[in-house]
Amino acid sequence: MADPSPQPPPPASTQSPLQPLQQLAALTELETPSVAPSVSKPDTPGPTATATPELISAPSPAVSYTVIVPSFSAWFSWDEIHDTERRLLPEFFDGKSTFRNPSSYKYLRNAIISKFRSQPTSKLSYTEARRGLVGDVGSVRKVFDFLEEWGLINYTPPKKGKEETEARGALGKKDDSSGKRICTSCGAGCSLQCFTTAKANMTLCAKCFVKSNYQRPGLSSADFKRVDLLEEPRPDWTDKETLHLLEAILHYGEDWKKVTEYVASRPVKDCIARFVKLPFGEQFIGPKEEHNGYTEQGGDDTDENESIKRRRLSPLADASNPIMAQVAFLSAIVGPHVAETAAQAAVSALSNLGANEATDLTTETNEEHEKLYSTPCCSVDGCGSDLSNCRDYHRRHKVCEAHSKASIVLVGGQEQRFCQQCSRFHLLSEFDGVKRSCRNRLDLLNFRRRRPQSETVNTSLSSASHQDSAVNEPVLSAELEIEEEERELEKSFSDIIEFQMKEMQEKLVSFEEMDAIMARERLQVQYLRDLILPDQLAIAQHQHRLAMMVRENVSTWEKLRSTNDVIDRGTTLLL
Amino acid sequence: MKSSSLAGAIGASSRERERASASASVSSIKFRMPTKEKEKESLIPIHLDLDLDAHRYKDAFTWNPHDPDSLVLSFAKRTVKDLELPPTFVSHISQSIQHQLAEFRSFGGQDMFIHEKIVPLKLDLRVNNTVVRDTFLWDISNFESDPEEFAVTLCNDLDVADPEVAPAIAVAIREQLYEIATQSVSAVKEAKLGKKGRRGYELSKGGNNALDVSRYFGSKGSGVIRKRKDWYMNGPTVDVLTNEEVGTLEELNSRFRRKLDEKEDSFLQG
Repeated sequence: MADPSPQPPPPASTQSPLQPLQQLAALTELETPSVAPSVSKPDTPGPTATATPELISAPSPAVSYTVIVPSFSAWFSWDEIHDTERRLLPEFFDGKSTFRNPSSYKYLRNAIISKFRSQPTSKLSYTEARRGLVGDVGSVRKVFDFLEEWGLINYTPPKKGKEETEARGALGKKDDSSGKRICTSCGAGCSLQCFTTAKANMTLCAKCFVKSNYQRPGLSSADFKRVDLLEEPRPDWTDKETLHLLEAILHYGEDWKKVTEYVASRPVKDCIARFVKLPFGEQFIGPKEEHNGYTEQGGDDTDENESIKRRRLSPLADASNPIMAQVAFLSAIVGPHVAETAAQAAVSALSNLGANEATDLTTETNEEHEKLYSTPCCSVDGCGSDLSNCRDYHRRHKVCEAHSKASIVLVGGQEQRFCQQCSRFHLLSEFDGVKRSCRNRLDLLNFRRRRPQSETVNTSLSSASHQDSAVNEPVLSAELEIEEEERELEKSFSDIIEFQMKEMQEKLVSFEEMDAIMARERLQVQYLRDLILPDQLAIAQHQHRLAMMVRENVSTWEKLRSTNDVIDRGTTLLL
Repeated sequence: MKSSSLAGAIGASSRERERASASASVSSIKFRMPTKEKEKESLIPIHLDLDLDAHRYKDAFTWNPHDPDSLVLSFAKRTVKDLELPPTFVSHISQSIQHQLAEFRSFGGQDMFIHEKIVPLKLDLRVNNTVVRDTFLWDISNFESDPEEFAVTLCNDLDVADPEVAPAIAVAIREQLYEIATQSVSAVKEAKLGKKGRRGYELSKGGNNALDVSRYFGSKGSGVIRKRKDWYMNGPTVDVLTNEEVGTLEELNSRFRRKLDEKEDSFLQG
């Protein structure tokens, strides 16, 4: 046979015959660039990575895009059917079948090609093509295979023959690893996550996915797969960078922006994280060495050691930064070992999350704080009473029952009182009179209750030793009770309403069920009726026939009777 | 548009044919789809509705049963690959297609009676965002009829933007024609087995969808114009829904379908 078998995509040597295809049909909106620049485009000897994205990442398909068609398919034209087609798809042209004829072939071919060209960057799949075409799937399959083989659809021009597959492979990998996918609906770059679906070949950024802004309505959220795009792993800090960082911190203190500028290679977060992770340097060697002496004893120190430690740390405790003060206080109570572990855990959590530094630290230290069940000991100076017998509350806050109610105690060498609202010791100056809660808390409480200042009700430990407020107490308690009753009323109202709603709902549900049952029964009855119908008809028929027969019988019977009578009469006459 | 749906489907001189056929002149031919194909060929509608694991695959298309059977497997593989379904679908799809093909082939060679009948066909389908609803008359005995052409013309006339609507319409029409053809075959079978004689045959035939055309249209005046009250039913309606409406529709449908399935199961058991 003299048929030229379709050649595989041309090897590297035939680069010159690559021509852009001139569009004949007026339907397509693709521009037709002149020959020279378009030929130069695929010929640029740049690296494959840059050349192929140039073509593939064309902005919108309606704007200029060069359609590359291999040289062996240069015969293609919209309006005509070429000899090659006639030869290779004979079943369309031999007139043997009514639905495979030249006009249907042309319709299928043109439809498939224009569908591909409307989105030239994505590969047209057979299923997508046949979905939009009227005709039987076998014919569509034949035409599709033919067009694909001859490079009229799904054809990407090769750069340099051998590297063609490599380029395609590299491009594919690059798409995944470059992390720069563009959302099909909003056009924004997707950095963190994107959602892809294969059904319509779409990529959506997280925002569009949440908005459910799917182009095609046949999709649902279940069709989408989530793709997490990994960020680049941060390379480790070199010594140079660490040195820079320390110098910058020395110079600029806490101004992280300037520090980042100085370090020059890292974003702000990285700088901060790195700084926090740095081991304590010369600044803190002094007290730490002394702490090391106590590590083994942990929380079972004698009171003396504890007080010494506390005294040393008290400058920190009085630092202007309240957070640092609390951290110092907690770490002092907890003991050096636990504090160290807590700090390490906090730092590692920080590097994982990257944000919410303060809350992590505090949660970690709070958790550590919880663990000091193991060392229950009142924290008041000179009172080392064992708290194992006391309530949880006392154990947690490291204060024995007596000292929690005492007016003045010595903690850390200072006169303090245990505030029952904050559950900690405050300086005596924080308290008004003999109140057991500090001023700040009381103000808050009063504000909440919208009551004038200075008179408060101690809710946690109700005791009768408030001489100043003795007069107002019954009034206040009455008001409290009123409030409570109101609340109860509201609650009972809402309960009633809830119950009624439930009742209505249940009624609705039971009605629905009734409806369904009725429908079912109706179906049953209809079904039975249908079954019976032919039999009824047959019976009616039979009855009709029987009736006829009976009538006939009756009539014959009558006739016989009458003849009998006649005969009888005749005989009687004769006789 | 109404006139086109009238004229397009009814063959010429249908009324006279109707009168002449009062004496039950039947032509018995071999089973085939009553559409424009040569004797040995028919295009049959294939319906796929599979629900495995978490994937739902619903599809309907036209198949040429004279294509080689190897095409079934390659088609199934291609579809699964294109839609990225799990590979268990391949065997299910090919089985389903072959089952329907076998069903069609089992009818081959049997007789069917194509009485001159005009049958009302209904369209009620939703493709992506477009809902098409239509009722029109189709002449069964017209073997030159072409559902594809009808579908393409309908979409062009109504300016339907979505190209996937036309094949869905063609498949829907083919399905109904296929059903009518199989019914007529089974009617013949019943007649032969039932030994009801001529009268029985008439009776079972009367259960079909035939229309008494003379009664259908206005008796007075021109017999070609429908009664005014029926006009609204017989024009095509095309609605384009927004995405949310589609979503709610699908939800209602699935809920309704689930309920029906449950009721059906309990009904069949009970």
